[in-house]
Amino acid sequence: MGLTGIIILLILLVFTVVALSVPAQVYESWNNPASWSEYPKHVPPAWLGIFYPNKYFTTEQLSPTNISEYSPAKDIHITLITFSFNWTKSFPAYNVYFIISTNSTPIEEVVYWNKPDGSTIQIQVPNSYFNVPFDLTAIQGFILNYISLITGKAPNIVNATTLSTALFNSPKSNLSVTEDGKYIVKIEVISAKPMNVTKTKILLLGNSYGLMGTDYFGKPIDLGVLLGLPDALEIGALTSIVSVVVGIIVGGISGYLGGTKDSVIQWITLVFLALPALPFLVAVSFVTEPNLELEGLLISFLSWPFYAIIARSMALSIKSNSYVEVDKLLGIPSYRIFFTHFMPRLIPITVAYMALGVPAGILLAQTLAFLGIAPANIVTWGGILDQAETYQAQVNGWWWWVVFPGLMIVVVAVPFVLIGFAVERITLGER
Amino acid sequence: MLLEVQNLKVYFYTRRGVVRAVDDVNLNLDKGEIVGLAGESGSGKSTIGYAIMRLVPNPGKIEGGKMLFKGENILDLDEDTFRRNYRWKKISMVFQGSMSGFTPVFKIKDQIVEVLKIHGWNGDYDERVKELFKMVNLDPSLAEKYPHELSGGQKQRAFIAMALALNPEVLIADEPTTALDVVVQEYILNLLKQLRKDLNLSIIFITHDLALLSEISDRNYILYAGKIMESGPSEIIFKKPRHPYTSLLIESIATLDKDIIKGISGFMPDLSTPPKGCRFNTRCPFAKDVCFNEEPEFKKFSDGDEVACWLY
Amino acid sequence: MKNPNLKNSQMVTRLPVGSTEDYRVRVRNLKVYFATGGRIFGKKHLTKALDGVTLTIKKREIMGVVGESGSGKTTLGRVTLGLQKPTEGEVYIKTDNEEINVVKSKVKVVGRYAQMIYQDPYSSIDPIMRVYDVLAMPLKYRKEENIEEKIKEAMNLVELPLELLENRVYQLSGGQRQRLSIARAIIVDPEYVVADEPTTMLDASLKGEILKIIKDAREKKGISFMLITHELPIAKIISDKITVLYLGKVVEIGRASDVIKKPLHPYTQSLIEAYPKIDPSLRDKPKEIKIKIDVVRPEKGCVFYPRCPFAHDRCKEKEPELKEIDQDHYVACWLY
Repeated sequence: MGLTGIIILLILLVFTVVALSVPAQVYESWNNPASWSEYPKHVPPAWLGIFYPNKYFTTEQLSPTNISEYSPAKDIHITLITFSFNWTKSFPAYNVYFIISTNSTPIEEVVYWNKPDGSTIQIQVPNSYFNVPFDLTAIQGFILNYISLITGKAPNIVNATTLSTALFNSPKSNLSVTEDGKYIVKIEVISAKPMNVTKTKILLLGNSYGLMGTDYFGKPIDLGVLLGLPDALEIGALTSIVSVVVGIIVGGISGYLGGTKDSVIQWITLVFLALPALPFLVAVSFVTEPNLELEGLLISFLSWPFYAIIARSMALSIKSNSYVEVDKLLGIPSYRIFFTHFMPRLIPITVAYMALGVPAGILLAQTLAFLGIAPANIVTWGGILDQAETYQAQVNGWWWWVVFPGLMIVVVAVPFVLIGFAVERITLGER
Repeated sequence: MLLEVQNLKVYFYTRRGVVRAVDDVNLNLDKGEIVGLAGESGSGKSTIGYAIMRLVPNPGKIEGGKMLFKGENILDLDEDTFRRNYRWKKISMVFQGSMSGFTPVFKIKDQIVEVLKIHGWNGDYDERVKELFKMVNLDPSLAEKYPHELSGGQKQRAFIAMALALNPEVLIADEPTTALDVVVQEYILNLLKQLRKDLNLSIIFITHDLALLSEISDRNYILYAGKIMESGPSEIIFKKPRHPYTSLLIESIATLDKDIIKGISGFMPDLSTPPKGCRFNTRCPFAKDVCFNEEPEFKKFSDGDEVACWLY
Repeated sequence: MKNPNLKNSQMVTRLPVGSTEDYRVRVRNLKVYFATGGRIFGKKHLTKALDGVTLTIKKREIMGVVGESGSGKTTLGRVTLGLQKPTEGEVYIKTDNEEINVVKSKVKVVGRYAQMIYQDPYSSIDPIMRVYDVLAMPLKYRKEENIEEKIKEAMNLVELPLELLENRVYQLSGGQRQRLSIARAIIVDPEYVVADEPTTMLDASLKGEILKIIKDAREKKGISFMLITHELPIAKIISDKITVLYLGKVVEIGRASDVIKKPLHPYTQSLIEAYPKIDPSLRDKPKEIKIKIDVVRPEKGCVFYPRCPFAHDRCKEKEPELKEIDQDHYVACWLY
């Protein structure tokens, strides 16, 4: 049992290392929606495509098949970028992104979208989108015109998906049936002087992405889960170690001393135990600036009584053996008695509880994050769940946004529980 | 012969290995007899008691042998039949330590009545409890009390009463007098002798205290490390023991007329790896070469004594 | 002879040279009462573990204290070592030139002069310790020299092989641990040792050895012992004097041979009769048990009165005092 736990833990640690090697900007850009603009928004995991190959597909990136330049007249240069692709799904792409970067500002940009049936849409790119990636919503004006021209009315909902029907569905069917086949997209960039195209591609956004899908902003959930791992483990370990060590020492000494000193320490322990953890932490967080180590210490502040009670009853049962009393008669000093008889018996359970305490710390930290209390600039699974709640993931059916972070909180607990029980069983077995 | 135990083996399957707690033991009990089963701690004597009741706790298992009750092999029976017909009905047990046996949350009377009911005994329950208490010289009003309200001696007698509830023919008494003071101890011994006379009860008395057996048993089995060393009538065992272990044991009993008591040096062998030959070989002052190689067989003597020793 | 200038916590007094009082342990009128349970008719229920015990143990003497459970014998032993404080009474331990007031002293102080051997060898020595440390630790904290020598001497006295010093206690058998327990008690050179039921948890074959070792300790090191047991024959084997306790009171004290051969108190007599003698031919004659067995402690009068076959009116009213009947043989009974 413990072996399984250790193996899982090692796997988690490998991922932690991976997560830590991710450059800092990624962490910071997590909260910036702009960084995720090129990702499909709120789409489910890509592997659904294995089960439903006709329903789910991932983003396809297109590179130009040809770039040619010519100059029809003096001071007029035209760069023609050609893309072509074969469309086999029976429904439109989720969205289309056009990325055209040039080394100088063009005068005009026109997109000619050629569908397999031969019809073409011509779109004038607005000036504001020169050298800026744009998607269908950016050019919706033209597309809506086209749609009303063909169908005679404007669509009820205007979003990337409905706009995409203009590009992928046949005019013959009133834009209701998707055309599979060869598409050719030509982009004409007109400039006054000779110009270089530094980067260009077209993204046909899929309706699924990655291992765990994306959220409302297009942030991949799998990345979020990965980035949340090191901090979750850190806080789990921190709270566990501190609260267990403090708790066992306080409880062990209290049980050993007995008498009034024991009663006083017991009383203090119970006061701490009675403190409602969550409200207390919420209140404290209003006053202080959230910081991972501080949060860890605060959680430990509230968790140690649990271990103190256990350690105290262990100490009492050790004390009930006459070898403790006889040492006093033999003149052995108190600290030595504690060291010889109590410590060796308290340490094994300390280790077991340290392992078992990690999941509790993680859960509490994620709960706080869910409530909005977490240090800035870190990614937390609780934070992801918080956003999911805000953007009504359940209502919208975006289950992947909730399930995977939630599952992660559970999964990360598993190795610690296994290891903890295994250690507990070994140490108890020695008795 | 009322009860014949033949070649009984009880092994415990522990992580350390297989502990052969009872290894090929024969024991007989005739109607109206009181037989003593003596041994030190770890000899396996309590295990034999549990085996006869088929209550050997995990990880122990009865691994062989026969138990003939009036000729029928009760070891072969399935658990249900044994429970319905034999356990508590024909063979009953008083366990070690009068603490175990009564639960502290119910009155004694209720616990005895429950035993009667479970085994399908119908009739006037209150009368029967009164009758049983009278049999053990207990004031019947004590039946209305809770176990913790009784003294050690009273509890032990109540437990004997409960064991006799269904009129068993055999009573196994496992250390019935430990933790009782010597006067009460004598009282209980007298009581058992009385019960044997009045009810024609056959008793197996298990104890580490040989002195008690000299006062109550007709025949004795001397058990060491899971094997019988000697068995015979009390007159022989206590006055003219043949096995070295028996005589050493008797010499180690502290009686008021002795000024020294001798001990037996050495330890009982580890029963997960029992020694070759006689199990007493490392501690026996008379051990010879053959004692370390072959197990001695039982030799019968005309005075009723049976010994397993290479001296004979 | 108390020096009032000493602090209360340390009542060890120096005696003038040539002091003639010849005792090692003196117990005077020891009472240990516990208030238990709730109020019964307005009176708190009192449990009397010891009710006025007086006795003296001489130098190099082995005093056997015999009683059944509830007699207070364990409490007596513990109070004489200061492990428990009495409700009333005095205990003094006397060495060659000091007298210690045990009741007023700290346990550590009493421990310089007296030690204890417990009944259960499995819980009186920490099983995870090394055997060597069990004996070395007390010496270290007394800043003794010659630790190695003393350890060897102690191991030899209790007849434990020196190789065992390297083992851990959990590797030792019950009998070996009990010997170690004795070694630990005597290694610090006490004047007085309480042995509380040292053989009760051991098999019959081991009891003799333990008693022999205790006697050796008295011979070789001059230690006085209080040997507590519920088995009269065990006490008889090595005790010089025997005290019989019943429900917290001393009913008889005398030389061991006197108490056994000429018991004065009816309780002692019934105990002696009750002990089995190894004679199987007697088994069919039921033993007459003269004393009743199911009784309660009386409110006043002689505490044995409800069970005594010789009880008369005076026993019901007044408690008998300990009187010397024969030389050194005392009994508390209205028959005398």
